[in-house]
Amino acid sequence: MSATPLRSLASSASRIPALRRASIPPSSRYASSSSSSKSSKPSTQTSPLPKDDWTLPHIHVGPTHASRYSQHYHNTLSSDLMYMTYSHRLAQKPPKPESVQPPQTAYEANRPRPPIMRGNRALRTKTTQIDVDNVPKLESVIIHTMVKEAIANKSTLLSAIMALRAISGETPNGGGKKGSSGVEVIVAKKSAAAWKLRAGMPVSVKVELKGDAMYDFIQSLVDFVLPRLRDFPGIPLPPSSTPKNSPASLTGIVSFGFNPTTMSFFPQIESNTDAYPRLHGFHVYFKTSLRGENAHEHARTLVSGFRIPFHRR
Amino acid sequence: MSIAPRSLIRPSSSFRRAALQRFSSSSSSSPSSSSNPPPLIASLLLSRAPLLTPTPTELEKTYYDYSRSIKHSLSSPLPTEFYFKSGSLPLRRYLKAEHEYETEIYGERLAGGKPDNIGDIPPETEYEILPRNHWEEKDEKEGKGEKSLERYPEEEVYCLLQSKDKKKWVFPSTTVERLQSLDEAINDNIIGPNGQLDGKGMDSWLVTRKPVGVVREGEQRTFFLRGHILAGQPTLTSSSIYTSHAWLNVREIEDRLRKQGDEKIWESVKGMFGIPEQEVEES
Repeated sequence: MSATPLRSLASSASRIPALRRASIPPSSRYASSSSSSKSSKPSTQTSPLPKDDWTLPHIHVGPTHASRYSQHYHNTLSSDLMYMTYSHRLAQKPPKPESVQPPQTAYEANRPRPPIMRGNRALRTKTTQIDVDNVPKLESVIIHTMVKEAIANKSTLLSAIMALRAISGETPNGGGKKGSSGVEVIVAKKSAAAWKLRAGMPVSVKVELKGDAMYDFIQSLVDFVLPRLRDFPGIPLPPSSTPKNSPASLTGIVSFGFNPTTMSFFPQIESNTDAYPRLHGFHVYFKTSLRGENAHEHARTLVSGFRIPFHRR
Repeated sequence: MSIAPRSLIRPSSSFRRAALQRFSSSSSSSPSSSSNPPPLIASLLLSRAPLLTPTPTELEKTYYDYSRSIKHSLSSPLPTEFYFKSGSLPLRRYLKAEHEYETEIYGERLAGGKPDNIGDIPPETEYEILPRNHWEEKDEKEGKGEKSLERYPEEEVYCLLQSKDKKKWVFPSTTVERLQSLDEAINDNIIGPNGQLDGKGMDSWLVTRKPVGVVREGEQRTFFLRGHILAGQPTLTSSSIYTSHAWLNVREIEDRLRKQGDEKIWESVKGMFGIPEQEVEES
């Protein structure tokens, strides 16, 4: 159903400079890149520059708008979070000198150090010290969808790819922005015979959002999607019996999942829901700068500051 | 079962701590100037968060427009056949808007002629767009003045009270009694239902139990706690020691404190509003 437009999208995903692109007649604009370079001949003839020497210089693309939730974080949330998460006990403890050993070999010199082990277990994660320069902040938001049908039929991933593209608006280096990896296809790391899964099979799709794109995603999630969910009590909190020093509680990552109907509430998808063969449930991971003691609780405090409700089961 | 012992431990430990304090103060600090130090004072920085994003300056606006045009020219064209049904009204609206924007940023020669078969486009539903200062205008009509909670919607505003006897503007504050914590004092005596500000008509919360600042005047210590108000307003009873309240932004607080001769208080308080210490001039 949507296979043809998807293929044409993949082939036209080249970045043509505006001046050349604009000269192409509108009818042939969405054709493949090879034909567009041919049709841009008239503009290169009139330009005084030699034909093949000219390359697109590096262009820095700055922010295109003042992101509402980013402003909310910087103007209101950050100071409150600093006061909430500041620990007088940690601040008074003198910092432990790190046992830095000089690299032994050239191999070790430029590689991340393996964790210092105590017996069989790695030492506890170092707790983030909160102060004026180091206020808890959101580093990135990851949206992830695993498509079970992709084990049997790879092309079912396409609708998930398109859905995440529409929601996030990200393409690899999209809009000249360096560092945005766009929507990525994830392959299975290990085989699982029970699910007929072999290592190397593409099974899921993810996209990592940073900066203003991240805040804009939160805005559409919070303002359009969550209010329209039926019987939505909030994101369930982990049971109070969860140990405080479990590995999950030491990472400052807040994650939760949504069912397939949730996806149709995004305004980006709602406008053409019938273009997608099927909708997928997805997980959202809020990656914060917090680590160590109380990191999970503080990360949830930060996320709830963006009007995402939590409830205890 | 498991809750009962925990709730028992807390008062006994705090009691022990208080007893220890009393013991240490009577034994060690008795030779100091006064054996009976003045009680602590808990003060509240009650603020309303900004309601609107700041209006972009001329430079910011120009920069955003420029970045948007750059981003538009660098991004790959939209696959209209995926996102729109062919010949549909949303597609025609999109093509028209896109052509208008391209004409604006590239000029007419590069944007090309108008796209074909756009046809007649019915106007979209018109929504009433309120001006950014519509709260201020409304409050001006009602004569609320400084008591309006929607003052300066782009800035944070703080609650100040005017005392009856000296007509001075002060932050709401209360003395902390023995065995009482700072947040308890504030919750009971200031923003509680029977407090100075009458919490029944106010939707407010304390950010944290820890103080965010301290002001020392001799032996007197005033601890500041941070709170936010979401809605409502304080109502001052006739028996209270304050006559009126006002929601003021940082500049107004500075003006008022300086005018009434509280420069010293302002100097010790301004750090909490994010104003750095003035650099000492070298002579």
